[in-house]
Amino acid sequence: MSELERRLGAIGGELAYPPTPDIAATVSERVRAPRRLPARRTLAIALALLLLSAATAFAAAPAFRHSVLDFLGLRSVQVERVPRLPKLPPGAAGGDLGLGTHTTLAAARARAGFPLLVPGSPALDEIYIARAPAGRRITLAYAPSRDLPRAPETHAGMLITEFRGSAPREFLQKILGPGTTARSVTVNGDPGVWIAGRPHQVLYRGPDGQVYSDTLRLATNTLLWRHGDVVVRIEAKVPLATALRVASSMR
Amino acid sequence: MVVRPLNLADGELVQRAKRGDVGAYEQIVERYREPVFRVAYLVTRSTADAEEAAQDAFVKAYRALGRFRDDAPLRPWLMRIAVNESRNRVRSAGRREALGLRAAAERPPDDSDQSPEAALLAAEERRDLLDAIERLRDDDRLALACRYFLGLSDREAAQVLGWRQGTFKSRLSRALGRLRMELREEVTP
Repeated sequence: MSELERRLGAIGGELAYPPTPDIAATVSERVRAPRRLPARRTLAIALALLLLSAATAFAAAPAFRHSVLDFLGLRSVQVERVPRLPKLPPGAAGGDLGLGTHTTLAAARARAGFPLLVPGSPALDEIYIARAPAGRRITLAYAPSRDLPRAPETHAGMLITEFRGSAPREFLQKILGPGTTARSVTVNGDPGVWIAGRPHQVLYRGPDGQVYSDTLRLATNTLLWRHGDVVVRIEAKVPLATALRVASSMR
Repeated sequence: MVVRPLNLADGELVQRAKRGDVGAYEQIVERYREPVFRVAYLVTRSTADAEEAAQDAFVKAYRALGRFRDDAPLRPWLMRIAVNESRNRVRSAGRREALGLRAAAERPPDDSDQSPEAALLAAEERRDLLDAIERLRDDDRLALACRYFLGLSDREAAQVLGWRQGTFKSRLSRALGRLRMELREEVTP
């Protein structure tokens, strides 16, 4: 070791660092809390929400609405409203995930503002209906089975969500983090996206009106496509081929 | 009341934190907050930025625990995340006045057997050395700081800075050379 290195080592022990702040409590508070989105993104999503919730007002000027949403990269942003933070693990398949009210297939078909698609197999376990977005959102929940392994993010074997909307590609490309891949696919002749890899975030608006990125409600592999003006989302810890097989059986 | 055993090994705490035990993670934060804050301070030179960067680093690390191998060394991993957070802050803040490094004691303790003249000379030498380090570019300064101020091994320092170990060694060697030039010290083989 040279004389200079010895002097550097000696001075290292004498440096006047500021006192180390006591950050342990703040850090644990932050990791316990649901993730707030950065302010700029929150603002953008809040604006998109405002536009979406006032969809009827914009119906007369759809071109304007689309151009604004395209600009934000948030066209057809899907925001799930839940009354409180979801608790895991749920009891019934998909229960307590903020999916809405438990209902029956017949009631869901009657109340959905769009033709509901249901897979020929497997057999449906639970079905939920939520008031938002407009036209209602229906979620079909399937318990874990041999073909549908339990997804650690949802504790369900498969969740299929359907709601009225438009292509979400722009939005998805913005919200996915590293380790998650998204590729364009064709589902029954319709345009879609396959998101796989690390769990991605699900957004929802909390009771305080803020948009949160939920750390509990992380989505697993997802096949998302548009059929007419209905967006269909299959979430399951399965490969693309399996998701496509389920999709092709939906009538 | 939960009675938590103290002094668990890092790997055990990591495993517990991965299972959602935030209390275990709090122990990790307590254990490593000093090196994480100090490395953040060495990059940002701002107490407030360093505190924020350290906090953000621990929060990000918690969310990334799933990718962390239980038996991997925890300290350099946390410090590396803190360095990245700190660099992002510095980059977004642009050029600004940073706090200069200072030695805590300008004079040796009273029980030193140095004469007042020798003590003054030593303090001046320390100031000159720190001033010379301040004039180096960021990469040089960080390489020297990780190795000599934070006492990291070559391997740890390379990991913290996100460089290969060989790259770290050669950059450290060049940083020492440039520091010698700053000090107008003769470079000796």
